[in-house]
Amino acid sequence: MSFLSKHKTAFFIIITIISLILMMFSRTDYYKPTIIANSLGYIVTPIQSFFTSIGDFAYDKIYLYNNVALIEEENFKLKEENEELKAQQKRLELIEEENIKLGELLELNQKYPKLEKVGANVKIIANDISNWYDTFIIDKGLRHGMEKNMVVMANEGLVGIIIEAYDNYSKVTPLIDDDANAITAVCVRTGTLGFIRGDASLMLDGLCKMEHIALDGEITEGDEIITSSLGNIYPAGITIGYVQEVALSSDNLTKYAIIKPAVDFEYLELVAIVKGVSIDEIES
Amino acid sequence: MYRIVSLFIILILNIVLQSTLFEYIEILNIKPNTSILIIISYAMLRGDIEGSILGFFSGLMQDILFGRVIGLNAFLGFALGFICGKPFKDFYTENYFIPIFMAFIGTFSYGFIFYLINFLFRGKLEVVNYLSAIVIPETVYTTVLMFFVYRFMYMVNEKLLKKEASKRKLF
Repeated sequence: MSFLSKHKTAFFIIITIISLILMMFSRTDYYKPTIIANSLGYIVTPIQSFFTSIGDFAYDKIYLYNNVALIEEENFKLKEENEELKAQQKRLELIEEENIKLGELLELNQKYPKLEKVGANVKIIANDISNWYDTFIIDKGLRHGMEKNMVVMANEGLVGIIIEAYDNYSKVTPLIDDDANAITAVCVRTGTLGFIRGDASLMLDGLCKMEHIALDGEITEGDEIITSSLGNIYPAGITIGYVQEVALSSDNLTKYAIIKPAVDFEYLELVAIVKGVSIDEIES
Repeated sequence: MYRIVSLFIILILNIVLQSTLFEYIEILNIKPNTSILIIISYAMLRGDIEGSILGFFSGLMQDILFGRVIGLNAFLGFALGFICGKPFKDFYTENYFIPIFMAFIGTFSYGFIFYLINFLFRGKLEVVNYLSAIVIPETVYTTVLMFFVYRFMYMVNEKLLKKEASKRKLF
């Protein structure tokens, strides 16, 4: 200690240089599951898992007591919907079979490939501690078959992507995060294309932005937006959300839309993991 | 040794609580940033060198668990601890006013510098938007909690001083 306090300036400069070097060589693009990150995971994730279970338990109980009537009503509605969907499902299965047969005849590639599930009901154990980003940690990692660039979904729609996988935990960036990669998206009704981008000030309200929509592209409030087959990682046809507002961008050359994601990010507890697609796979 | 172990436990517990249960005490969708408070109070109690070392490791832990780049929060925490430790010889540690004032200044500048590095350089120019939505609410909420955090860190420091005093050899 006394040695350090004699050379304070040198100490300050050396630590600054060390952090700069760390920053240069630790970008996510070249991440490797290091020993430090893995072992910190082994210490921290069990405790996080414990505290999250306490929080979830309390929240669920309070929610239950406050909304019994509401839940009953919802249950009734869901049962009705279930009946309807079951009937529809049979019809769709027949149509799909027919589609496959016809596709084989025409030697077409599947435009909407079947989703390959890697994990279901994976628990979210921690959220980012800063208010700027919304990265979260799930309790499955390399040991459970998780890998970088796998797609994360909840039953309502797209959540995001795994950016880093470690031994027993993985980091997920949701699509509303400011740092998330752009997603190629398409409007179901009209086929208008755009890019989904997160924005820190919209993220707090659980919203995101769809940018670079052509001026003559048709898009209005309430339109459903899904992932497009043009993108790389994300399988086509996953629901992203619904348009809430359309406006001209500041340069007057394109339009942008505010999207309300189908998933409620505020109290997300369980997610499903799906294998991503890559362009080489589609081509071969 | 006692000091290192107990500080490590405090850091781990803090990051766990901040990432799990703090989700339920959000106001305006903003959570308080208690890791900044721990760095500031420890730096004010123990001086710039120890404060900056604690800040570095606190930030490093945050970077490893949640960050995209390792070293950014570590550096910011280091600088925060170094600067807030400067006046440590010049004021009474029983006084609450100066730590709370420092927490206000520290949280605001931490948030603002974070915005400069991560958002302004990427072309996100809506300064007022980011300040009013994130930085200022976070500053206010965090400053209010400084009272409790500083009390806690003061108590921990006193206990550690007592433990160390009994072990110190006079000659």
